[in-house]
Amino acid sequence: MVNTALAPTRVEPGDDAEVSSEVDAARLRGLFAAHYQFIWRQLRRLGVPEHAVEDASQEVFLIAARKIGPVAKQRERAFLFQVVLRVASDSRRFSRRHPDVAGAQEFPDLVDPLPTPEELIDLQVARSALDRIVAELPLDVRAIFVLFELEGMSGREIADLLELSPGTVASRLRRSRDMFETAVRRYRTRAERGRQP
Amino acid sequence: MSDPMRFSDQNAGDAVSLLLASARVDGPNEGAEQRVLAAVGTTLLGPAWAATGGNALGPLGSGVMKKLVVLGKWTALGATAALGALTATSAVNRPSASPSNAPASARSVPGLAPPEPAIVAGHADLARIVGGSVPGQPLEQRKKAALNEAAPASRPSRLAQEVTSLDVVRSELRANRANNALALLAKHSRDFPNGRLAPETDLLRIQALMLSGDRVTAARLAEQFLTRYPSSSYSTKIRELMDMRERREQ
Repeated sequence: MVNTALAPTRVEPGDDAEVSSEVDAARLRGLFAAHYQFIWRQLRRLGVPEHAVEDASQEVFLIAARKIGPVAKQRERAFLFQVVLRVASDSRRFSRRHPDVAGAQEFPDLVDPLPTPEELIDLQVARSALDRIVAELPLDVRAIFVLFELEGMSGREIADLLELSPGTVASRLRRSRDMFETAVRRYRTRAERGRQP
Repeated sequence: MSDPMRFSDQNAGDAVSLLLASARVDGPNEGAEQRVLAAVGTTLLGPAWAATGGNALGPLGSGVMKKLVVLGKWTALGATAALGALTATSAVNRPSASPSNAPASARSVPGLAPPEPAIVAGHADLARIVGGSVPGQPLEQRKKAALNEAAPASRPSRLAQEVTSLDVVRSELRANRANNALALLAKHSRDFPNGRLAPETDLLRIQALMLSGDRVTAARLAEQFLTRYPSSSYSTKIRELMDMRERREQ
């Protein structure tokens, strides 16, 4: 569920007033050149499986191209991030509802056992483990965690991107880090328990 | 506001550092940006996209080298599919040649797709996301293109048609319409009796059967698939699906 408090620029799918009548090709190319890599990373880090990120990024830009008309250039990234949150949320919901269609990749617990800390040296194993741990965080908290810890943004930059007060970002960041540490501890306990004969 | 020290800067433990480092190396694979731009631009603008310079991104524009890199990757997975895909790629990257089939093809042509193609999951139903008010629903266009028996003025390549047809099946699966997907697969098999995308078709049929609840037939087809294509890149996915099914039934 996307926390609407995160929304810097609301995206209402059924709202015709926000839909651009014409798509500006030059602006679309500009959006891609400036933000594609950022969008890809955030989709992936917010829980979209790797094999689905390309499709999800296509969705983000399809929606954005139709609705970005009234958005000021300096707010483009914030707007795109809001769309990313929505698409990531949809992707997670779809995977939960359609496990057979989504495939086993979304349910790694069914496919392989939890790796031990030693096995995390393998980056692919670690990435899969991180997906499982971060999936335990609510999306609004996860977004702030990802932007700070992985994207390297400052609290002030996050506040600006999400149009939140710095105090709100600071408290959510504290919460996200606490939850992450708890999830890692829980994960390690489960992994060690799973390895016992 | 003073920020806390990041986990990665404070030696927060080997496991935490390794976990976070694993995500920092993430990034789109070769050519992903061009593929998505081509698909989005052609879907939204059709022929007008070509008039504005197609999918070129200026300095990032797709060049011969990028295509060669993509082709090289795919040669390892199957030369036939890669060569066929490159043919279809040309149609996609030149929307003026055949704009009607470009959007779906751009997403799904094997040579343009990631090494592990998203068979079904991922691209949620666009109609559901953007609502019914947006003119020119891409899914509707794609359905019409796949179901239309009449040859258009500039006919797309056979492979591009096959890709488009399977793309519609995927859309139906994503929308949880297993029976529609099975009906479209039956039509697909009639239209493309010697199709180049037979493994993909079989995989979609197995998934559609599982979604419809006919797990016995799905399991039988899965066994046939594994016998027929033991080294296919889809074999692992099928084994995972079957394992998941067995664990659920236990």
